[in-house]
Amino acid sequence: MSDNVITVKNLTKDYGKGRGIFEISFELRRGETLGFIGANGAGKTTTLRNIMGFLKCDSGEIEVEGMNAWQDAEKIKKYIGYVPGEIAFPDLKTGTAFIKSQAELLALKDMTYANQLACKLQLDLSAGLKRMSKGMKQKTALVAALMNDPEILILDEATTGLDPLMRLAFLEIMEEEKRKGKSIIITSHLYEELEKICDRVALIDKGHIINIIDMKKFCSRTLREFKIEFKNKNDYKDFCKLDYQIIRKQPNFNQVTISIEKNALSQLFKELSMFDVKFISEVKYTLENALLANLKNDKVDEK
Amino acid sequence: MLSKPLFKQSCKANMGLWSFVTGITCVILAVLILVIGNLSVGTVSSSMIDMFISNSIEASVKRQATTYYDMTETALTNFDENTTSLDYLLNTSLDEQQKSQIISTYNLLIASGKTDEEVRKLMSSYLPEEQALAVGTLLDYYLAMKAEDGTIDYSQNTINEYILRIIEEEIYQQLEAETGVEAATYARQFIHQAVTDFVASNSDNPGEYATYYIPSVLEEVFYSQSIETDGETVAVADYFTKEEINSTALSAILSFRAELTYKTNQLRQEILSEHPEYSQQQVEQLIAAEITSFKTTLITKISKSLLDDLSEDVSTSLKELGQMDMGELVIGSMFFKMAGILLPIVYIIMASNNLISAQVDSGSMAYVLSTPTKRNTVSITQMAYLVLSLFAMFACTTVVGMICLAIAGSSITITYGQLALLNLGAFITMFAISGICFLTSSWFNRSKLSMSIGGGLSMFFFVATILGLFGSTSIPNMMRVDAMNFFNYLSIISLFDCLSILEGSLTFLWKLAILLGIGIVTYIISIVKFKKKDLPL
Repeated sequence: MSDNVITVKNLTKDYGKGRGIFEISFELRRGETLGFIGANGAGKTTTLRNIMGFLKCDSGEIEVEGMNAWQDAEKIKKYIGYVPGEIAFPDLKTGTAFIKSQAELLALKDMTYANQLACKLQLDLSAGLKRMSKGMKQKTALVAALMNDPEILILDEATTGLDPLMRLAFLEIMEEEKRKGKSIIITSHLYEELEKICDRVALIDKGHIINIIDMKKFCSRTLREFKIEFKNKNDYKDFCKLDYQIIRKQPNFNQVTISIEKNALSQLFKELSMFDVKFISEVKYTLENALLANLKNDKVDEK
Repeated sequence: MLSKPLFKQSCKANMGLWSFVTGITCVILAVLILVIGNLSVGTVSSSMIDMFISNSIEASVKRQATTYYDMTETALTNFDENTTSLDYLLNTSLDEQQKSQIISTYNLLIASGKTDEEVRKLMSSYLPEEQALAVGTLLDYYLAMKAEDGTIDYSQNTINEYILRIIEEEIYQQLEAETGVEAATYARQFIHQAVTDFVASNSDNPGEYATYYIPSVLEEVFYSQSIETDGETVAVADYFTKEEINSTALSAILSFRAELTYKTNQLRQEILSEHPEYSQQQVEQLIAAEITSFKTTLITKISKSLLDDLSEDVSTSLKELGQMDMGELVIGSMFFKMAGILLPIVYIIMASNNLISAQVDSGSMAYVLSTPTKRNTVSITQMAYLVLSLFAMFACTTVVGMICLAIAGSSITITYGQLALLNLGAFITMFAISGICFLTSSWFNRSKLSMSIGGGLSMFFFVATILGLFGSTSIPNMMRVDAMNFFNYLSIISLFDCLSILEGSLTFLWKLAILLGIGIVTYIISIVKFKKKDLPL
C-alpha cells in the first residue's frame, strides 16, 4: 500500500473558452482529509468527476489505489463513497427504497451502520424522496455514500443545505471517519468548515490550483498581527520609528498594523506601556486570508 | 452483464406508465375486435356485396332468357312452318296411290342393287323439277320414319316427330361446333321438350308461346342453381324467388321482342325506300342477314349488369369497396399501424428518456455509477428493461386479442396465427423505434435534446404512417389518394407489412428483418457511445 490513495498528475480537461481545469496535480495521502475551495465554476466538481471516472480527461493521469480512474472506473468504486454536488435521486418512492437499492448495488447486506448514520443525522428515511427538503436529501446521499464504510470519501459540497446543528453532526461524523483512517476529499465554499476538519486545503481558481495550505503549519504559525490605535499623533509617530514590521499605516486615525513573532509579544507590551494606547486588537489570520494573500501576491508577481 | 437492483429500479420507476399504456392499448384492441365482431361496421359492405351478386344473377337470368327465347322461337317457327308444308306435301299434293307407287319403285330399284343416290337421280330425271323435289322429300320421310315392317303412316304426329328430329339435329350440329357436346346435348333436350310442349299446347303462335314458356322453365332451372361471381359461389335461391326470376326473364324477353320487331320494321322500310324494285322474298332475306348480328348485340345490351355500365375504374373501386374486409382494415391497418402503436411509442419516448438521459441530466445516475457497476452493465440493463417491457406489452395485447377473437367468433377473418404474427411484427417495429430513442437517450446528456430528437423522429414516423395509410392499398380505391403513398417511404413503420401477413405472403419477413437490424444496430451504438462519453454527474 502506497502512501498516496489518489494521485493526480497534470490533469487537464479543457471545455474551451478558458473553462475547464488545467494542469492540476495533487495527491491524497492515506488518512488525510483534503479540502477544495474555490468560487463556483472554478473547477472543483470537474476535478472530482475526473477522479470518479465520469469524465475522460484530455491529458494527465489519475490513479486511485494504483488504478486508472477512467479505465478501471468500476473497480475504484469499491473504495470510494461519493456524494454528488447536485442531489437528484433515482425515481424511487422513499428514502428507504433508495438506500436499499444502493445497498443491493453495493452488494451490502448489513444495514446496521446505515441505520446508525441515519440516527445520528436524525434522518427519517421512510419519507418520500420527492418531498424531501434539500437538507434531508443531502443527509440521505451522505448515508448512501458512507454506509459501505469505504476507504475514500469524495464529498462535493456535502454541507450545503444543512442547518447549523446538522452541520455540526456532519462534522462529527467526518471526525469519526477520520479517526477510522479514511481518506477524504471535500469541497466547499465555506472556509470555516474546511479549517476545522481538513489536513490540507487547496484553493482552485479558474481551473488552476493556486495554493495548497497545510493546516498544521497554518495553525502552528508564530507570526501574529496586531492593530494599534494611539490617542495622539506624537505617540503614533514615535511608535512608527520603533523596529517593528509594519504592514499598514493609517495616519488619519493614528492607527498602525504590525506583524510580530509570538515570542516577541512581551517585548511589544513593555514598549507599548510607554505610549498612550487607545486600543490594541489582534487581527485574526484566517485560512481565507492566507489563501487569498497568496492569490494577490501571484497577481502582483504576474504583473 | 445485468444489474438486478438497477433492473428493479427501472421497473419500479416505469411501472405506472407501462401499466397505463398496456391497459389502454389492450382496451382499444378488445373494443375494435368486438365491434367488428358485431358486424355493425360491416353492414354497408355486405349490402353492397349483396347488390353486386343479385345484379350479376339478374344479368345472367336476362342473358339466358333472351338467348333461349331466341333459340326456341326460331326452332318453334321452323317446326310450325315445316310441319305445315310437309303435311301439305304428303297429304294434299300427293295422293295415296302416288305415294305407294313412288315408294315401291324406290324399294324395287334399291333391291336391284343400286345405291340410294343413284336411285334418286334416276327417279328425279323422269319428273319435272317441282315433283322431283316432292319425291325427294317423301323418300327422306319414308326412310326416316318407316316402321319395321316397311309400312309408313302420314299422320300429323309422325310428321311432327320427323320435323322435330331434323330441327333437334340442326341445333345439335350448330351448337356442337360452337360450344361443345355438353351444351349441344342440353340444347337438343331443351328444344325437344319445348316443341313437345308446344304441340301439346295446341298453340298456333310460336313467338307468343316461347315468350311465356321460357320464363316458366328458367324459374325452375335457375332457382336450384349456384352461380359464380367474383370467385364466390352463391346459391340463387338465397337472392331470388321463383316469381322474381320469372318476371325478370319475362321482361327481358318482352323487351327483346319489342326491340326486334322495331328493328325489323325499320330495316324493312329502309330497304324498300332504297330498293323499291326488290321482291318480298329478297327483302326478307336482307332483313334476316342483318337481324342475326343485331340479335347478338341486343342480347348483350339487355343482359348488361349494373357494373358493366360503369367505367372500369369506378366498377373496380365499387367492387373493392364491397369486398373490403373490415377486419383487415381495422385490425391490420388501423390498430397495428396507428391506434395500437401510438401509446407504445409514447411509452418508448418517455421510458427510453427516463432510463438514461434523464438520469444523466438530473445527476441521479451518479448513485448507480458510484457503486462498482460498469457503464456497460448500466446500459445493457436499461436496454434489457426497455425491450422486455415492450415484449411484455405485446404479449398482453396478444392474449387479449386472442380472447376477444374467440368471443367474436367466425365473423372476423383474422386467424389466431395472423394475430400472433401481427403482434410480433408490432413488437419488432417498436424494437426498432425503441433502439432509435435509446440511442438519442444515450447520446445526449440533456434530457430535452434526447426527448425532442428521439421523440420527434418517432412521432414523425408515426404521422407519416397515418398520412401514408391514405395512399396505401389497404384502404379502398375510392378513398385512396395515391400521392399520399409517398409518406410510406418516409417511415420505418411501413416496413411492418400488415397486408402481407394478412394475405399470407412472405414479404413481411425481410421487412421485419430490416427493422430488427435497425434495432440491433442502434442499441449497439447506444451501448458503445454510453461507455465512451463524458457524464456530468
